[in-house]
This record gives sequence, structure tokens and C-alpha cells, in this order.
Amino acid sequence: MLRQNRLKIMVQTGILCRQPAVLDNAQADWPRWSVMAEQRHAVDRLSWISAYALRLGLLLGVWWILSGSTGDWWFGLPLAVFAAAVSLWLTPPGRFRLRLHRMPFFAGFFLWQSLLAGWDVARRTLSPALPLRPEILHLPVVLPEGAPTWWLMLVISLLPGTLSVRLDEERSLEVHCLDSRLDVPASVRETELQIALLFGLRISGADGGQHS
Amino acid sequence: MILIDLLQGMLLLAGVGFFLVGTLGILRFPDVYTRVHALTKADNLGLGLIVFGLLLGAESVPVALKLLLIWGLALVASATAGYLVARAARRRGVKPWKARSGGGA
Repeated sequence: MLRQNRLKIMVQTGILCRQPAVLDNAQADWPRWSVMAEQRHAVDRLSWISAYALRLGLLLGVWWILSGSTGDWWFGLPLAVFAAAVSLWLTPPGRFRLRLHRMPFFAGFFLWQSLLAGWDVARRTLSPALPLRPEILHLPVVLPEGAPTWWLMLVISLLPGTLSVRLDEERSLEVHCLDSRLDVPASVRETELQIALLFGLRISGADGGQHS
Repeated sequence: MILIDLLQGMLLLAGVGFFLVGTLGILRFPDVYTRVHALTKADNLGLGLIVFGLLLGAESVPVALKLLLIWGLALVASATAGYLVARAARRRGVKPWKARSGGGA
């Protein structure tokens, strides 16, 4: 039921976002606000040590894959230890954590969309009439700054007919679309929802009233 | 076994086809933004199909994981590169190509 609520709210925000005029002050602020509350909670939980352990584990896994499990660990182990330290230095632990149990859902969504995207672009390329009607859209991003926004921008570029061009200071995402007849705002909203779920974020404003 | 071989062949051929279409897109599409569309999306799917085709014939788990790792890294790289190219074009003031309204199609 909670999930349904979230969906409903996201759809509502999506409708709001399609008319930039409506999207100012209070109405636009509440979804972001409840995300912030979740964020602060996450900061306390994820310390540097656990981030280091996680990245070290990941890199060891990558080494195991790369070395074909022959196990040249005398080289791989120090390298992973060093690389994990460098990665912490370059990208300090974020406030956001992927929810692994959400990964299969997200992968399913992503694979299906990639298939549609490739098919869509192939169809347009091969059609003699070259059916393109490009346009630039400006869409406000509801997801918090940091990893979720980066995921959004990368994933959007691989979805049917959309390409991230720029994110400006007011957190409005400039999207280049192949065809103005596609409902791009709706698919961007759907992607935001999927990423929010992946990071365990609550974009819902269902209980927003209690916070304020 | 022969069914798997057949499926593998189909996946590989389809993958190559999408790569070809992506390249054709670079030639046919009118401006830098639309070309980035063609390249990122068609190649992403093409590589994905090839990887799945090869997965069917992978001899061991590390090999299979390596294939998936390659695809994942290529996805991140192509999405990032596509975004960087589009942003650079935008900063240089490249105007997106517009379809003539009411014309042809």
C-alpha cells in the first residue's frame, strides 16, 4: 500500500513538473524535504570503515573475475587495498546506499528500457523518412544531489529517445529528446521513482504533513 | 545443444546488427545530439546481445562474470561519454537540429 502511495505521489509530481509555472515554492518543496530527512538518517549509519570494507570487497571481487580465479593474490590483494583507499580519497562515502534487494527489479526495468531504446533508435535510423522531431526539455529533478542524481542522468541517456545534456544550479535537467511526440516527462519520472526505490529513498509526501 | 547454438548465433548476429545500425545512425542523423542518441543506445543494446550470446557458451563462472563486467563498464562509459559530448556541444552553443514544421513527414 505504501508503494502505491509513492507511485501516486510520483505521478502527481510528474503532472506538476510538466507545467513549470505551477512548480514553485511550497508545492515543489515537500517531496525534496522528506528525502532530506531520509538522508540525514543514512549519514549516521554509513561510516568510513564500512564504506572501505565494502569497496575493498568489491575490488577483490573484480580482481577475482579479472584474474580468471587463478588467484594471483600477491598482486591483486595489495592493489585492491590501495585502490580502495584511492577511491575513498576521490569519492568520500556517500550518504546513499544501494539496496541490493531492489537491484533485480531495477535491472529488469533497465534491461527492458534498453531493449526499447535500441529498437527505437534502430527503427528511426532505418526508416527512409528519418522520423526525428528533436526538442530540448527542462525537467526539475526531485531526487537528492549526489549518487541518485548521477544515476538518473546516466540512465536517462540510455532510455528510449532521451539524452542528458546539462544539470543547472536550480536542479533542472536539460534533456534532449529524439521525438517530441514521446511522453518524455513521464518516463523520466518513472526512472526517478525506480532510482528512488533502488536507493531506498522515500520521495513520497504521504506523511509529509507530520514533518512540518 | 543445437538449440543453444542456434540461439547463440541469433543473439550474436542481432548484436552485430545493432552495432551496424548505430554506425549508420552516425552517418544519417543530422546533428551531434541525435548522433549521440544513435551511438549510445544502439551500441548498448548491440553489446548487450553479444554478451548474452557469449554467456550461453561461457565455460566458467569467472568468464561469465567477466563478460557482464565488460558490459557494465561499457554502459557506464558510453552513458558518461554521451553526456560529456552533449554537454560540450551545449557549452559551445551548438544549436539542436529542428525538423521543419509541417514539411515532408
